[in-house]
Amino acid sequence: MVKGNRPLISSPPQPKSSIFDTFDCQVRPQFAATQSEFDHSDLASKIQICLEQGQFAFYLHEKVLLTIQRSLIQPNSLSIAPRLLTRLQHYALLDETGYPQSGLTFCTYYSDRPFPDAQTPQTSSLQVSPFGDGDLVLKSVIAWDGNILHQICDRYLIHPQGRAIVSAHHWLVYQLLSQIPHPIAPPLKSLLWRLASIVMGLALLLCIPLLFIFPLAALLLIGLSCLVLLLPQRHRQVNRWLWRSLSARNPIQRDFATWVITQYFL
Amino acid sequence: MASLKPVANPSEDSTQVLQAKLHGFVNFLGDALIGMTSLEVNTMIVPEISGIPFNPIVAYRELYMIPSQLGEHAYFQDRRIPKALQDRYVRLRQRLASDDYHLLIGSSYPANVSLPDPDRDPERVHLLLQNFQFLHSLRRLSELKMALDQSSFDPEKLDMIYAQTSIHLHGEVTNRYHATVLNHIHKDVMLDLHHEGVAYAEKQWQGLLGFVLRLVQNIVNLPPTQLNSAASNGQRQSPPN
Repeated sequence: MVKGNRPLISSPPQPKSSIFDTFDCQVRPQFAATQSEFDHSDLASKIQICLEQGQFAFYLHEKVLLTIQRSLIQPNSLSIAPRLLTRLQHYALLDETGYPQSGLTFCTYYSDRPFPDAQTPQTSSLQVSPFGDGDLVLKSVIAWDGNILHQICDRYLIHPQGRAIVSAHHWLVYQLLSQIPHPIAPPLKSLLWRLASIVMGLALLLCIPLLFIFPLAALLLIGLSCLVLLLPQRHRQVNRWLWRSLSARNPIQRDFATWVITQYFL
Repeated sequence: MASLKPVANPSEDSTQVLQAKLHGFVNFLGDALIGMTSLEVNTMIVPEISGIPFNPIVAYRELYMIPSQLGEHAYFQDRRIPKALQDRYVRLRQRLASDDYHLLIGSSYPANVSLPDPDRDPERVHLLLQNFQFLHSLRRLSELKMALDQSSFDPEKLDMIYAQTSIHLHGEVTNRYHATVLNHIHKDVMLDLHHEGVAYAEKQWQGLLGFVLRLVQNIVNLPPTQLNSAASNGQRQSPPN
């Protein structure tokens, strides 16, 4: 799924460049037969999830609600755009401003008629969604220490679709959170292999002229650089050393460890 | 990486900022994992929900600006906040200063030290916002304030947490309901909606917790089997000692 040297948590994809980002997500039927049912019915199998300045927003209308209601009965799952999952991974840890995440926010908007398709991101106005108007029915803030706050708009207590909207919201949040890709193991081993091969390459290059002048020094250099090859085998110790170095007295060691860790782990 | 760029003071030495960030984040993870003793689901019924995204600095500034004592303040007059609501604003401000702040600064500062001014002391605010307990409390108070701002100023229709369910690590479940819910005409709907949220909460949180636990596991490089079981058990682990 993820390649070897990708950072553990991918870097935030420039939040300021676009304010509203929409992602198409497909409802994936559990059984093959229901796929054709989707294709031939008027159910919307596509659900658009919007990412607005670090908040996840669901824009629901009747058709989408019907689809989700059906998904609750037949346990369909939501196929989420990989790009959205990558951003979810980032926002699970840090918020839009780079501070630790205080709670993932999910908003559900509802409109009786279908939302128009998302227009190009409106960079000029911060508060206007590309989907136009719709009531913010339910907002959930989920923190990873287990604190959850739901806010429900009181008008929807008596709205005929109120219950369906709340169920759909919870289902969508569940689909998103249960599919966060797990962080990959630290790519330290492959990183160390690369480092070792660079050091070996440089040593060999230096050796050629050295052999003619000081053959002994050249052999010594080769011998020393061979030691680097041991590093990948010892990646666990190196990992431990890196984290310990964060509190080292030596500022160079501390800065080096900080740099490596922020570059490759966070 | 963009998120690790200095936020508060761009002229600061970047390595130091990186370091502070990293230390903060590791501490943050630790604090959060230690603080995880229960799954708590709160439900509020509000006339209007604010969709404005949370920004810690803005939220801090907005709460800081509220006067910490009742009285004739320009703050209330400028915003035309009715008398009936003023004490609720003041209480939010007082809770920000009391909830976790004093616990946090505890030993190194005198007890009566006030919250740092975001304009005069941005560095201390920045440090404060790296603390999980404080950030979490700020988030909660900010949500309450936003609900208060949006409320129709009808004292009968005040926003508040109507229902709260806590599921503790040792399996105890506590439900708390506000008195107004039990007399409300839509009492059944409200309780149903809350319970639906509770039923989903466990599953939703498990996904998020599993992700964070795996990250911690990667950082400390533990054998995967130990934490995998913890992640899949969610909050149903043995109680903390």
